[in-house]
Amino acid sequence: MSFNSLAFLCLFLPISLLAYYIVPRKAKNFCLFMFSLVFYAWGVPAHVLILLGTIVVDYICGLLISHFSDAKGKARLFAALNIVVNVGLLGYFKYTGMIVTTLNGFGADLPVPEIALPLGISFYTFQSISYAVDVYRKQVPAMRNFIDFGTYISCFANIVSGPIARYSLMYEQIKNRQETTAKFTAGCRRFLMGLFKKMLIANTLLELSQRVQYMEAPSTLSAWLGVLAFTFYIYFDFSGYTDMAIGVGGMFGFELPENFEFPYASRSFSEFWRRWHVTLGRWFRDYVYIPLGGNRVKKPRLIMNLAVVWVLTGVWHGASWNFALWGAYCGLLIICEKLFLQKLLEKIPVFFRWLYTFLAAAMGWVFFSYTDLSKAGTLFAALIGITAPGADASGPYLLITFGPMLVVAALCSSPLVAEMAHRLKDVAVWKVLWVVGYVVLLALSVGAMLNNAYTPFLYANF
Amino acid sequence: MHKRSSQCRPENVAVTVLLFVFAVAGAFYLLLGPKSDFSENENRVLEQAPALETSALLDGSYTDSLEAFVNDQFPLRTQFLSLNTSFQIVSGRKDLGSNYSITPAEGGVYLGKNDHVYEVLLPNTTDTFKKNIQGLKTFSQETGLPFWVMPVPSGSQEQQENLPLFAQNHDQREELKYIRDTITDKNATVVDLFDTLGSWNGDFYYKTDHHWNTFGAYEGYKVLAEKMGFTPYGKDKFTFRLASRSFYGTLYSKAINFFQKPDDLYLPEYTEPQDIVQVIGGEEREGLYWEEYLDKKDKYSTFMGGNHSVEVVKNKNQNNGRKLLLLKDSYANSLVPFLCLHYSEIHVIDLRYYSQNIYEYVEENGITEAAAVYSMKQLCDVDISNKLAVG
Repeated sequence: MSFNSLAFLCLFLPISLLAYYIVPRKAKNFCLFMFSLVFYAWGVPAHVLILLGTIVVDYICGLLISHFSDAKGKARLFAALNIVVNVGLLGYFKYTGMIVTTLNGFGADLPVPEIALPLGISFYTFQSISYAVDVYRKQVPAMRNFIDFGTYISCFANIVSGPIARYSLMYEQIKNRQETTAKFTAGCRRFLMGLFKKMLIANTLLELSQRVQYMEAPSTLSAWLGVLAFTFYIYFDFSGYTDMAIGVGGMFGFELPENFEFPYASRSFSEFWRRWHVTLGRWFRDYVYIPLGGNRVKKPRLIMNLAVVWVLTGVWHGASWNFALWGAYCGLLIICEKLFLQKLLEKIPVFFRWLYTFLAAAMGWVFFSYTDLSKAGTLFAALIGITAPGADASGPYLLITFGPMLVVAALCSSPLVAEMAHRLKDVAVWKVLWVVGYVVLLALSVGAMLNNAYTPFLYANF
Repeated sequence: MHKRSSQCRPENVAVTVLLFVFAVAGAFYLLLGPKSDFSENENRVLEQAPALETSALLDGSYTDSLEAFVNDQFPLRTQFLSLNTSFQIVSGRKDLGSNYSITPAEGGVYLGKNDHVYEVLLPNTTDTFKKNIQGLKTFSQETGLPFWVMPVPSGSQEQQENLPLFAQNHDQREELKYIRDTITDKNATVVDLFDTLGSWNGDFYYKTDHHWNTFGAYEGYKVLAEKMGFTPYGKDKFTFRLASRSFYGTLYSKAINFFQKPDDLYLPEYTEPQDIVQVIGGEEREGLYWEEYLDKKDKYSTFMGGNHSVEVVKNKNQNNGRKLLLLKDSYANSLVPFLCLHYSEIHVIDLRYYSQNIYEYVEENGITEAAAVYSMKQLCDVDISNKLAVG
């Protein structure tokens, strides 16, 4: 099920909230668990069995790790079992097709299996792994109660595309969280904010991006518009989803971790990655990078560690080589910054540091958005003005028709607008305007949902 | 935005009330409100509340139907859609309803000047057009009948000055050239309407529909009749009866909004009454106008009741014995009322829905001549070539 559907908004959300607040405290997690399974089963009911299977295996592993916590070897064995099961699931469902296609590319003649990707598998398997590792490291106790554990893994607020909430962070909240009016109302506001981002900004920019991707030979102007469109689209799509997830979490009394902190205002690429998809970055840091030795190793090993982490980060996003290339690109930039670039950056004016970072991110999205690498090559050529006309008629047309939305997107993705709103937040007139604004934006979003009933979130594919 | 305060803010409460009043009102309307079966604006059947069945639940089709039901039966649906269109226009959009995530893409519509909505024309990315023209060439050679091919350009081709600034539009003259270069047989004539239908001569297209209007069809008739060797009747020989002032056509469905002006729909009537019948599946029907469609959204179907796989139009006042086979799409539906004045019989075949052998049909019905009247866009988009193949 998707947050940006009217069925969710008008049926699932009110009904699940009503049930949740009616049932006694002891049954709340059970209620949430059941609704989460319904939510999960909404699209492909059979996949709920995979989810339940994972939950059972990981639950048992957790108990065993905890049971053998004094016998390191056995605890380690069950932690490893958990990791193997989760990575195996992810590998099978996500990468079988890619591996077979690649082998076929080298001359093998294997049938390419068509395996539908279970919803959120990239996200919940990562939460599961964090569970096994955190318990193994004795940072938090294991879940004794199956319902509690099921709620942690399957909670519909964040199962589809995160935020990836590590077990150590969620343990207390699962066990005893407090629902408050403050959390609830802030959650509703946050949810609507996310809906507006997705329906009013992201979907429009996606159209622009798709138009440019559709062109055989875009002009330089069109190519730039396409790149900017995707750059803002992916931010508003994913941060919109995240707002909705955190908002839904808030309605049920959770405090889910943040995922975005104005990434496009960053002044180095490393900083960008500390502010973009924060929970994924932290996951890789805590469960891959630091176990590999992190920063406290010799330079060649450091480079190696970073390369491994970034290629994995890339491949995690999608089963296609362009994502690996994108990961390698990100890794390369971060390695360069670690080695020498950061020092150079500190010497140049802030504006250029920002410009470098923004362009680096935007160019990265080209690898990310073009699965066809030769088309990505054509686009890069067009961006720098070789092989393409500077401007044909379609460039100015797209600029006129999508330009205003690009400007809105740029402003809303910078901290400026948020700061202004923050400063005005205690002015009475502003509060009234603000509520009226929400009424209008909600009506517009509903129109957009009716106009185009199916506009899935990008990260739901990963 | 990121500081989560522990105290409850009044504006958050207001927004929360807004969200749930909206959601619950929507839910109650869906549960108890009236249901509509058909969206006239979008010209499609609307989803009804799905029945709860185990098999549908297990394969996920139940939830799909439920989602579609919620969308289709949502309260104030048209108003919300109009609001969305207005928002897009305010945000600078000059075209709507496109889909570039598929190949070939759908261009959607341009919001043009003078209250006109136009089809966006994209370059061909498939060989459908070429196959269709080869099919028509085969037909021409195989039958050897006198054969007129009249492709009708789109409104956005003919009224380019009404398109938005810098709007891209594929030039259909490329296709015209291809037709001329391909169908070169002696018995065949390619009829060029590109200059005739240009906007300097008048407005020959509906504002809200992709078809030519009655006056466009008349211009087409004039040119075609001359090529066929008739003297076309002058405009003064017809009464153009204003049958509807509230026609919202197919293009409007892609840009539903509050401020679109509707089209007028005229029905041409020859001054001397004719005894004309339309025969469909053995059933005879008097006249060519199905006026029951004037009360519906799809008012263009007033002409001949829309598309049928095969139908025969007989003019009992015309005894020249000429029998025309007309291969066509819906553009021809408003042309036939003019053309039928000159033929004893017009056998009208819409190849999209026709599944018999066309060559046997020609033999069996004593056809004396043939014409193909298609909108150029249809020739580019829909493959009819297999219906024209020999054998």
